[in-house]
Amino acid sequence: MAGDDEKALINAAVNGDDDAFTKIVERYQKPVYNLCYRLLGNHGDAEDASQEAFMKAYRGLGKYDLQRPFISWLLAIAYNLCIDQLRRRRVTWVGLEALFDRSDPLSRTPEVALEARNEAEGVQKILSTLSVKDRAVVVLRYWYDYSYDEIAETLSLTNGAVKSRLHRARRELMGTWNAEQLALGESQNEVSPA
Amino acid sequence: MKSRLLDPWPLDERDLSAAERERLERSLAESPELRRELSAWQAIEASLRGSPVIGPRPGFARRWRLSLAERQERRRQRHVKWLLGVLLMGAFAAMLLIGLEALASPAQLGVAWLEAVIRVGQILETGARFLTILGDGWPALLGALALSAGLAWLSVLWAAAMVRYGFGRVQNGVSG
Repeated sequence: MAGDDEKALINAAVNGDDDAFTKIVERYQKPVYNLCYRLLGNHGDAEDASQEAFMKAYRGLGKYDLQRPFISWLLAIAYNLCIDQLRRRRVTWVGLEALFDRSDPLSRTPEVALEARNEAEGVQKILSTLSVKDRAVVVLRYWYDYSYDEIAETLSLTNGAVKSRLHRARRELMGTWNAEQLALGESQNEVSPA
Repeated sequence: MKSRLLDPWPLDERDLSAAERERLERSLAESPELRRELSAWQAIEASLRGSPVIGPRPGFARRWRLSLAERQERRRQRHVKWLLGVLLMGAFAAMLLIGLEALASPAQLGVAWLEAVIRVGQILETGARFLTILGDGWPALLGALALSAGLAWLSVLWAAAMVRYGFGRVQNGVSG
């Protein structure tokens, strides 16, 4: 359920106060953007999709049910927009070039930045092997710590479907991870004799 | 590669019952392969949970606000264009009708126009008469209004005096 402050902002926005909705944008930009980025795989598309998600939320605010968590409603809009965008693109591959401009690069030493980049690349790479719906389930579960019920509500799935998707995603992630470890071991073996 | 570990325990370890957890621990103690798989999964999970929530470039809300203003302006322009289009079409249709009428019988159209002008004149004249009547009765109306306002003021004054000197004394027990 929305908090009092959040409700006040929503009511003000419904009554035409654009400043109130701008505050809502400021408050939720990060989770919405992160979901779009994780699903679409690059910053340009994530920016477009998250901007559009807030625009759609602004227009549809009158239909929002105050009993429902606002963030779930927002994430559901963002998720559907990402699905539409991916459907239009018909591309499932997730680009990795955008990972190089991750947040706050100046505050890191080159070693830390390289390590973080490799780590992030690895995460995004294994995520990209999943279908977009499975990826959304994983993002909501492991980044936002959503319960199965919350994921089901956000993605308009049944509780059973969420569990089944999460199960399948975990198996696929394990498969990719194991294959990568195997490939890594082989490449190290090739390098060692030289 | 198919994971054997994840088949019997499809979801998070947090979801396991005590019996399932015990079974898992027994299997792990017996099988190094399962231990390896569990360790791999824990590494994946740690990577996922450890990966940061990525935010947009600074100024996201400002960009959204600008985009909103642009869209609202475009929508306003669309509405204006639509309204102008409807008005132009209406004017064109009216001119077309008048033109056709004029072509059919020019004299009749002229008479109709004159009649319309006369009706407008009659309406204006009626309005002027109404205003004159209202103007003639104005002093009487003003007197009635002044009398009403005066009575209202006296009533308020009387009520205020009662509250202050009448009811207050009774409440304070000094009326007697």
